Amino acid sequence: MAEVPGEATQTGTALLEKATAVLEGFGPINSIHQHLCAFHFYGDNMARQVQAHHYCSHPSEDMRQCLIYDSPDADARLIGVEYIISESLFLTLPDQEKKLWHSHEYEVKSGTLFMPGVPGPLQHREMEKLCKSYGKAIHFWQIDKGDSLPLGPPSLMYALTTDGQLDTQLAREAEKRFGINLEEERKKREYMKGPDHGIHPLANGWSSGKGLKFKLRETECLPSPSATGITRVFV
Amino acid sequence: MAEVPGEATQTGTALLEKATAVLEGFGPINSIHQHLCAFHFYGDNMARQVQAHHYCSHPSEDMRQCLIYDSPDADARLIGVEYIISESLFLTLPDQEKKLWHSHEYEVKSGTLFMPGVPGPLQHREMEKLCKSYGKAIHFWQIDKGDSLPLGPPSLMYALTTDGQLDTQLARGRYLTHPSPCYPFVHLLIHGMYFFRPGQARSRAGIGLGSGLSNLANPSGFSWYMARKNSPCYGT
Repeated sequence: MAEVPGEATQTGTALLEKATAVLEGFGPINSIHQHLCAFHFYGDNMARQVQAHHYCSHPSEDMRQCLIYDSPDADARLIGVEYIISESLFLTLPDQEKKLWHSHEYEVKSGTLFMPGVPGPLQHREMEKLCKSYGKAIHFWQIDKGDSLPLGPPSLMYALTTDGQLDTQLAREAEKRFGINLEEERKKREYMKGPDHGIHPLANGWSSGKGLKFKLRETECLPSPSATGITRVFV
Repeated sequence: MAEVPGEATQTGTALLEKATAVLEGFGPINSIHQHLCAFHFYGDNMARQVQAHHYCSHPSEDMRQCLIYDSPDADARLIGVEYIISESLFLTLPDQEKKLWHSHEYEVKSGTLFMPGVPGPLQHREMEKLCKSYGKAIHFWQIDKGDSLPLGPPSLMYALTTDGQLDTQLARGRYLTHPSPCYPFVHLLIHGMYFFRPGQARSRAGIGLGSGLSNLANPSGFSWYMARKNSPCYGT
């Protein structure tokens, strides 16, 4: 069971939620159709790794938006998000932005990025696309630290890029829980190709030798539009 | 239609996703049962306001986790998340953490936080709970700037706390260009009524925070920036 603080959700609350669910527009949620598992590490500390259950939708062919939970259970904790974009979209990013994104080639080819419970052929088609993509992962809840709530600033996360990085215990647990064999999967995925232009040198920003994190700053807050009469450009 | 870059999702992709959906555990997604509408502004610039469609689940009675999209449509952009906790949980937070959270009392009482399309009585029970809660909202995609992708560091967001803050042009403009289920709220605007309705159930005295509004919540002027450590990423 997940360790979310507070009383267990009351039956009344659950029933009310079910009753209201049929009355409202749940378009964005109904579009979520894909479950991916992978491992993320903190941008300033590779020793801190977490298993990330991604639930993704495909608003366009070149982009996925994924919600990240700490398990596939109903009471899982929402710990982060990841945006996944095609190589062509990635190449349009400003250089400073590219550093916040990571490549997926190693994860796909090593088998450490996988779709739990999905048969090989169905998975491989998706994996071929993911192999060429880039992701930007942000976490908010440091469950590996034992935080009982999402505290502090968000964390920029990255993904595995080579052998020897993944915590072997995490790998073994995943193999056991999801009935997968990473070595076998690696052989089956050997044929897959990474980004057409090769992994961009600015991606995987941590690998330049400096850790990356978000910090809080305090500045003067600009006032509300009714006070200044500002006209909006984008609504 | 949402303005997500890239080609339209191909039929093959959509079918593959539907085929795989039935094979996998979607527990966390199936738990998402509530749709709330509200407005957020950037922690360092109240003039920048966005409409936030929250889709929430209730992993415990004292906490909600909400995904924030820019519309209720299937191709909506995921722009942020919000965690909503009870007053008792909020009071356990370290003081420095409290500053990252905002209260909901004003939003609930003014009617600017609401459940689109849900009849009054069903809504009010939820609103009574939300009135006493605090939220931490983080956005990643600055759609109001016209960004075509989620760029830069995340943004710490806050919610309305008093009259005169909400950009009325925003609310009116969204209705005219993007008809949405947020009609009860817009109904008030079109008929010339202001956002709160004195005497209505929501402004009943006594449904606010038990301990009063924390003086640490709802600060102004906070934002996040990207920092680089001088030492190499540990473990490489």
